[in-house]
Amino acid sequence: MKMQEALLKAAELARLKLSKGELEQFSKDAQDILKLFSEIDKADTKKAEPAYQPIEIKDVYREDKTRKCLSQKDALANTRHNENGYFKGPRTL
Amino acid sequence: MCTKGLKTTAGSRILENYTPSFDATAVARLKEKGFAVVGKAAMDEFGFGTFSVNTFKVPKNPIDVLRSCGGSSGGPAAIVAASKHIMFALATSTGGSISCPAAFCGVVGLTPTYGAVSRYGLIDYANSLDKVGVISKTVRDAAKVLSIIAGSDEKDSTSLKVEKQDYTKFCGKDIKGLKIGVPKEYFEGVDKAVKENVEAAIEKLRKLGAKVERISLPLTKYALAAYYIIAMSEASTNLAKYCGLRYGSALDLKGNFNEYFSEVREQFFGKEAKRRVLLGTFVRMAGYREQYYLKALKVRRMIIDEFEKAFENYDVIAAPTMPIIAPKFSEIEKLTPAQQYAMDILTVTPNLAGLPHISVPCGFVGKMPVGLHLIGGHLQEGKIIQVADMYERA
Repeated sequence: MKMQEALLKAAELARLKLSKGELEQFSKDAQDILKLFSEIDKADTKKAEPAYQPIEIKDVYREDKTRKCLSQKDALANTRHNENGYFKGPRTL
Repeated sequence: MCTKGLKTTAGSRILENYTPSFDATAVARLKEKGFAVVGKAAMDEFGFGTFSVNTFKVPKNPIDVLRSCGGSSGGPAAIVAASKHIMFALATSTGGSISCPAAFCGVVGLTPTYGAVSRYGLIDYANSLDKVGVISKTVRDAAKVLSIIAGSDEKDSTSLKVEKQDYTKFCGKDIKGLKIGVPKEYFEGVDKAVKENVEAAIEKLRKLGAKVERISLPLTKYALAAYYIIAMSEASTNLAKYCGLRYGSALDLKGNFNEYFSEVREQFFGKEAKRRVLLGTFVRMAGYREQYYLKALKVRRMIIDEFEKAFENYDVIAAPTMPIIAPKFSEIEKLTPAQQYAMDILTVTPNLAGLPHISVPCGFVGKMPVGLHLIGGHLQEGKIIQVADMYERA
C-alpha cells in the first residue's frame, strides 16, 4: 500500500480529517520516521515473548461492591452537549 | 495531572477548558499532607515532545531564554529552576519527560519504577510507559515527595503492591563498595563537552568509594524505535476518547458521529498529536502489526532481560541524561520530527523497561547545565537516591 493511501486508511480509522497539505506533509514525515522504526528489523526476536507491560501484572481484582461514583452534575460539567441530564451526541447515520 | 477545580489541559487545545472534578491520586496524597497546588505549568501536548515547543505558550529556559527547557515537562523544570519558593513539581515521564527537562534546566528529576506511583488522574499518553515523578531542587526533596506519592492504589490496577516507605532514609548513606556500570553505548554520539562533564562526575563517584566498571548493553540501539512504536500505538488508542462529546473542546453537532468526531479532532489536535495518532494507528493496522507493534514488544522484553542481567552484577548504571545541552529554539526549528525523536536516545531505554532513574546536575557547558543519569533495577529507587544524594553532597 502506498504511503498516502496507508495514511488515509489510518486517518479514517483514527477519525482524523486531514487536509491535502497535511496528508502530503505527514506522508513525507512518515517515510523518515518509518526508516527509524525499521531499525528493529535487525533484532533477532525469535525467542522473545512480547512485553505488553514492563513489569508483569496479573489478576488484579477488587471486591464486587458498589462504590460512590461521579455525580451526574460533575459528569456533565465539562460539556455543552447535554440535555435533560444526558450526554447528547451527533446522529449515528 | 487532574487537579480538582483547576483547569487541566495537558498542553492541548482539545482540553483547553477542561476542569476536572477530582484530584489525581498523587495530587490528593500531597494535599493530605498539607501541600497546596500553587499552579500548573506548560508542557508538550499530551507529553508529545522533547523540547516543550508543541504547546500553547512555549516556556523558555530560565538560564538562557533563547533555549528550550526540554520536554515534555519543560514548564515544571523551568519553574523549579527559576523560583526561590517553588521547591518541587509533579511531572510525568513516558520516554524521558522528567529527566530531559531536569538536565536542561539544572534541577533534579526523579522517575520511579513503572507502577510505583498511581496513574489515577493522569491524562495518559501511553499506559505501559507513563510514570508520575518529581522535579525538585534537591535529591532529598525528590525522595521526600516520592515517599508521599508512592504506594499502591486500588484506583489504578497497574499500580504495584508495594509498601509505602520513607525514601529519605537513603540520603546521607555512603556509597563505598556500590557497583556502578557505565554502558559504552550511552556515550556514542554524545557532545564532547557533555561527555567530559559526565565522565568527571563518574570519576567523582569512584573517588567517593563506588566501584566503577565499563559495561556493554548492545540492545540499546533498538530502544528508540521500540519505544516510539509502542508509545505511538498506545497514544493513538488513548487519544480516541477526545471527540468533543463528554468533555473537551467541541463544535456544534453537525453530521453523523464519524463526521463530527473527525472534525473536532482535526480542529483541536496539534500537528504532533495528529502525527503520533496517525503513525500509532498505522503500526497496528493489519499487514503492519506484526512487523512493527508486536516486534517492538518483543524487543522491549529483550531490553528488560538485558537490564535485569546487568543489575545482577551492578547496583546502578550511570550515563549522560541527554546527548546535548539545551538547544536554541532556532536550532529546534531546523530538526525534522525523526531528528527530534532521536534526541531521546539516552532516556527511552530505562523508560521502556520501567526502571527508576534520576537526573542530577553535574556540570556546565558554558552556562548551560549537564545532567548525570543514574538508573536502578525495578523498585531500587533507594540505590539511585543514595548515589545521587551522595554525589550532590560531595
